[in-house]
Amino acid sequence: MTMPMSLKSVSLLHRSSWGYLRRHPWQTGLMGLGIALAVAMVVAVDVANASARRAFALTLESVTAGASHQILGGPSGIDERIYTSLRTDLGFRSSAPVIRGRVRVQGRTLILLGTDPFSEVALNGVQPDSLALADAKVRINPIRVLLQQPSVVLSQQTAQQLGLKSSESFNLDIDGAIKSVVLAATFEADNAAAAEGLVFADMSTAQWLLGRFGVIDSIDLHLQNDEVEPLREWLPAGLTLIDTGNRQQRLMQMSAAFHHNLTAMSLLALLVAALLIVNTVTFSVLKRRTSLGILRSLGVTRSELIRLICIETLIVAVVFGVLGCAFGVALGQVLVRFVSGTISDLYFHLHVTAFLLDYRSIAKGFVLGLGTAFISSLVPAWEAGKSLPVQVLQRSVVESGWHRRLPWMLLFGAVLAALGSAWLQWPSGSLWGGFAALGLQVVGFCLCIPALLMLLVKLIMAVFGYGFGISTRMAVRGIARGVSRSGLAVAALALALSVTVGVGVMIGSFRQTVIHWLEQSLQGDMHISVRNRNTQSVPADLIDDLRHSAEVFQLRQIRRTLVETQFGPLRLMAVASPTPLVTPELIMASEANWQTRLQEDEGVMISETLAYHRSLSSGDSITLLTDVGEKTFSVLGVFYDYTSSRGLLLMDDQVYRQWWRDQRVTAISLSRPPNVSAELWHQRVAERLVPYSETLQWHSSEGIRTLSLALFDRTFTITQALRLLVIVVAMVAIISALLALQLERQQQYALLRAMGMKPGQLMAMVLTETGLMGLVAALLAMPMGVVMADVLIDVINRRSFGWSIQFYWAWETFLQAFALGILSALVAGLYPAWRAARLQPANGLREQ
Amino acid sequence: MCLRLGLILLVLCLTGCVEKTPRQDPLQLGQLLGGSDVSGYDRATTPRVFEFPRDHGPHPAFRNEWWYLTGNLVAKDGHRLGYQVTFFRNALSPIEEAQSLKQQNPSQWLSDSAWMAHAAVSDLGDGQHLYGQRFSRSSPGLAGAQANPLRVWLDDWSLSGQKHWQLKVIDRNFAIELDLRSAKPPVLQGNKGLSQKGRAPGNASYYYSITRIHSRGKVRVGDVVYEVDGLSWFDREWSTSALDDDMEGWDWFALQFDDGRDLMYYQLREFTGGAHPNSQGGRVAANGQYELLSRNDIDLVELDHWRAPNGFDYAVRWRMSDRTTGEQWLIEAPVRNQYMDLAVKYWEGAVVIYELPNRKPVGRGYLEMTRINPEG
Repeated sequence: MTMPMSLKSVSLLHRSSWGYLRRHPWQTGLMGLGIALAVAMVVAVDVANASARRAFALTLESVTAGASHQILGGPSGIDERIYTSLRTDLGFRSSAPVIRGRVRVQGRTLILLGTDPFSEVALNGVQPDSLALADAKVRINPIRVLLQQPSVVLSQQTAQQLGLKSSESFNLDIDGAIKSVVLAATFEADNAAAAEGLVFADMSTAQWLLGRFGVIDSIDLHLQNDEVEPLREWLPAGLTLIDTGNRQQRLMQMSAAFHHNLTAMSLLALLVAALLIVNTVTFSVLKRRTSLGILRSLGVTRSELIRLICIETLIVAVVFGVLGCAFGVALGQVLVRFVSGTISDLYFHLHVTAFLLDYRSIAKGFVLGLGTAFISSLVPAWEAGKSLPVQVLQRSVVESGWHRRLPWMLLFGAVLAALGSAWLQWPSGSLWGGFAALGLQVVGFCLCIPALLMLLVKLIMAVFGYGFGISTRMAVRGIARGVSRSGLAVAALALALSVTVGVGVMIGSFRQTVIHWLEQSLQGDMHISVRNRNTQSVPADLIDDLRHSAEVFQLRQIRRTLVETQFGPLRLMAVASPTPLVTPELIMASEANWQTRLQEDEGVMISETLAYHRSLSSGDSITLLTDVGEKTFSVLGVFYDYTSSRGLLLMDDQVYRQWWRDQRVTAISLSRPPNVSAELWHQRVAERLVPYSETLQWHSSEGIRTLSLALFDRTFTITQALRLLVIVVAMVAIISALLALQLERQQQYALLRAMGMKPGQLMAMVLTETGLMGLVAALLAMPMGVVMADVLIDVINRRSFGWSIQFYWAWETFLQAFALGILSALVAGLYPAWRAARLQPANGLREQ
Repeated sequence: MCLRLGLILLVLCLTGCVEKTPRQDPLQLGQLLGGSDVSGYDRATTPRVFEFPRDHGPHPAFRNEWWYLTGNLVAKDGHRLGYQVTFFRNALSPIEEAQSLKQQNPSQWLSDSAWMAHAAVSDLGDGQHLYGQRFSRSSPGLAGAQANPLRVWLDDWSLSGQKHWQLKVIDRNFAIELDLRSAKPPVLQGNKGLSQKGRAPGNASYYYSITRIHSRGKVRVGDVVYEVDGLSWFDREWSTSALDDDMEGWDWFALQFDDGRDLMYYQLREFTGGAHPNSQGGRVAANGQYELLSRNDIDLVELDHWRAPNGFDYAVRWRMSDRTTGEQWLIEAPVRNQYMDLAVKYWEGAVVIYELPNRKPVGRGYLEMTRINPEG
C-alpha cells in the first residue's frame, strides 16, 4: 500500500517542482546563469593553470631532454673541449652538448636548440634502426644537409604554423641579424605541444647562427648513481653538475603561488554564486509557500520537502553546470594565453603555449558548482521543511524568522571575520592559510550584511525619513521588509564590489610602488643595452669614448647574467658606478659600511624577494658558482626590487670580474651634465650610438618607465580579467535578487496603482529601492574592499611573491566601484520597474 | 620518449622520410661501400705506393675507410676468447667542399666525417657473444685518425701507439685492453694493394693487412676479467666505392695456421648466387712472403647454417679447398651466434680450422659474412 502512495506523492512533488521552474524561467535562468558562470570561471582558471603548468613542465623537459643530470657553466658558457674530454678521456657516452638561443621567425620568438644528433643516440639509449653513416645518396643527403649546411629541423606542427615545407629556405632573425637557413626536415613529435616553438639545429649551425663559437651552454647526461661523484670530482672549476629532476621541481615551484592566486580568485566567483543560489532558492520557497503549505497539509513530510528543494536546485545546477563547463573550456583557451604570458614574464620563458584539456579540471569545476548549489539550497530548503504547514502558508513567518536571526548572523559574522583577522596575524602562515583567513573574513562580512543593511535603512529613515515623499519612504521600508532577499542581493553585490575594490587597490598600489621604485632605481638619463645578453657586449671603445666625453656626466656600467647558486639559477647584476650601487631609499636593511665592503669584501646585496623566499638577511651568506669554483659571498644588505620574483643579486663590477672570466658589459647608463637641455642631449648621444644599432638598443628613463609599466600591466591582465568576471556573476546575482523582490510585490504595486499612484511614480519607487540597495552595497563594499586589499598586499602577495607593496589609496578604484554598484543596481531594477509601471491593477489584484 | 629523440631518429632513420626500396632495409655493411655519389672523391683505380706509418693514418680524399682488428686469445686458465674491433670513417663531403664549408662556418663542430665503431667479444667457452657500437661526428676531436703516432679513436675507444699499439675498448658489458706487437710486416693485398672488388674501374679499394700480431692484455666478459695472450689480425682498407650493384655482400676469412702461415680469402657474393670473379685472397708464409690467391684457387662449400633473428642464414661451417696446395679444411664457428645485431647487421666471429680429412685442429681465424637478401 505504501509503495504506490509514495510513488504518487513523489511524482506529485516533482510535477509541482517542474511547474514552478517552468513558470519562472527568469528566476531559474538567472540562478542557472550564476552557477554556469561560476563553474565556468573555476573550470577556466583550472584548465588555464593546468595547461600553463604542463607547458612549463614540457618546456623544461624539452630543454633537458629527459637527462638525469646536467653540467652547467658560468655566464660565458662551457668550453666545448670539456665535452670532447668528457667523451674521449672519461668515456661518458650518455652525454650530449646543448646550446640555446632565441630566434625570431616571422615575428614569432622561438627557442633554438643546438645539439649533436650523434650524441643523442647514446644519451637516449636507442638502438637506431638505421645508420647515419649510410652513404646511399638518398640516405646521406639529409644528414649531410643537417651537419654541414645552415639548416634546421622543426616539428610538423611548428612548420605548419610557420607555413614552411621541407627543403624550403627561410630567414631567422637573431638579435637583429638575419640569417637564412634551410628546413632540412620536419618530424612528427610524440608530443606535438612540447616540440612547438622549438627550432632544432646541429651544433655547428647553432653556433654559427648565435655567433657563439667554442662554447656550449650545458651538457646533458644520463648518469648511473655511481658515476655522479667521480664526475663531480673531475669537473673543472667553474662547472657544476646538477640533478635535472630537482632543478625542474624547483623551477616549477616558483610559479605555484601565482597559480594559487588565480584559483583563489575563481573560488571567490563561486562564493558570489553561492549567495545567488541561496537568494534564488529562498525566493522560490517564498513564492511557492502556498503550494508547499498545501503539500505539507497533504502529508508530505519535512524531509521530503527538503529533498524536493535540494533536488530542484541540483537539477538546475547540473544542467547549467554542464553549460558552465563548456563555457569554462572555451574561456580557458583565452586565459591560458594570459597565464602562460605572465609565467614567461615573471619566471621562465615558455615556448610551449599548448592548450591542454584536463578532464579533472572540468570535473573539479562541475563538482564544486554542484556542491555549492547543494549547500546553498540547504538553508532555504531547511527553512521550507521545518515550518509547520500553516506557517509555510504565511510569508511573514519567513521574514520574521529572518529578522529574529539577524543579530545572531551579525554576531556570527563578526566572530568569523575576527577569527580570520587573527589568523592573518599568524606570523609563519602559508599561502593557503592566508586565503583561508581571507575566506573567513569574506564569509563573516557577508553574514553581517543583512543586519547592517537593516541598520543603515533604519538610520536613513531616522535621519531623512520625514523629508522623503511617501513613495521613497515606501521604497526604503520595502528593503527592510524583504530583508531575506534584499539582504542577500546586497551581500552578493557588496562582495563583488569589495573584490573589485580589493584587487583594484592592490594592483593600483603595486603599480604605484613600482613607479616610485622605478624613479628611485633608474639612475641616469639614457640606458643603453645589448640586444642579446648571452652573446653581445657593449663595445669597449664606445664605453671609453663615452666615459671621456664631455657630454657624459656619469657613466654606469652593468653586466646582467644568470649564475648558479645553492638556490638554483639566479640573476646577477654586476655594476661599476661612480655613485652608490643602490640608492638609500631602496635599501631595506644593510650591514654597516656596506658600500665599501661591497667593493672590498666578497659581498653581495640581495633583492627583497630572494631574502623573503630563502629567509636570508644581511649577515648571512650565499654560495655562487664562479669560474674558479664555488665561492661563498656574504649578504651585505637587502634592497627593494620588482624586476624578478625569483630574486636578484647585486655585486660590484670589480668583484665580479675577479671571480668570473667574463669581460662582457651588457648595459650602460649615462647621466647628462647639469644645465644641458634633455632633448638636445638625447639627440646628440643617440647620434653617436647609431653605428652600433645592430647590437645595441637605447631608451630614455621615460622610455624604460613606459616599457616597465607596460610589462607590469601585461602581467596583471589575467587578474583584471578575473576581476571583471566576478563582477559579471555579481550582476547576475543582483538582477536575479531584485527581480525576485519586485515580482513578488506585484500585488502591492497593483494596490498602489488602484489607490491612484501613477505608473511613473511606481517606477520611481522601484528604482529608488534598487538604487538604494546598490548604494548600501557600495558603501559596505568600501571597508571590506580596503580590508581585502590590505590582506592581498600584506599577506597574499607577500607569501606568494615576497614583494613589499606600499598601500596607495587609489581613489578612482573606489569611485569606479561606487558607480558600478549603484549603476548595476539601477540596471537590475529597470525591468521590474518597467513591469510594475505597466501593471494592470485589476490583474495584479486578482490573486488577492 | 623524449623530444629530441624525434630528431635523432629522423637523422638516423634517414630512409624513413625518403623513398624506400626493399634492398635498403635493413641496412647492411655492404651498402656502406656501394652508392653512386662519388664525385669529388678520389678513386682506387691504379696501384699506389704504400708508406708506413703514414698509411696507417687516414685518407680523407676517399669516402670510406676502416681500421679493423680481429683476434683469437687464450686466457691463463685455458679459456678461449675471440674479439673484433672496427673503426669506420665515412666522409660527409669531398675534401675540397669540406674546406670551403669551414671557411663559411668556423664552428669546430662542422665535421667532415661521421664515424662508427663496432666491438665484440666472443667467449668460446660458454658461447657468450657481447657486442657494442659507437657513433660520432669527427669534430671537435670526438673521433678521428692520425698516422704518427697512430691514433684512431671514437669517444674513449681507441687504437694508438707508435711501435707497439694499444687497443682500448671499454663497454658496459665487456672490455678489451690489449698491447699489440706485429709479428709480420704489412702485406699489400690484391694487385700491390689495389683490391678490385667490382667490375667497373674504381670499384676497388686500397687494402693492406698485418696478418699476425702478438696480443697480450686483459679482456673483461661481464664481470670476469681474463689475462689473455694470442694473435690478432689487422686489416686496413679505404675506398670511395667498392661493390657493384649486383653484389649482395661477402664472406671473408682471415685464417692463422699453427705452422705460421696466414691466409685471407674473400668471396664476393652475387645476387644471382655464385661467387663474383673478383673474389680473391692471399697467402702469407711464415717468413712474410705474400702470394695472391684468385677465385679459381679456392673452393668454398657451405655445410651448416645458423639463422639470424631477422631470417638471414649464415654459414657457420665451411669446407675450404686450396687447389694450389691440395689442402682441405673444415672451418667451423665454435659459437654459432656471433651475429652483430647492430645498426649495421652482419655475422662476424671466431672460427677454428680443422685439417681434412683427419679433423685435426690446425689453426684459428675470423670469419665475416654480410648478407642483403633474406635468402642468404
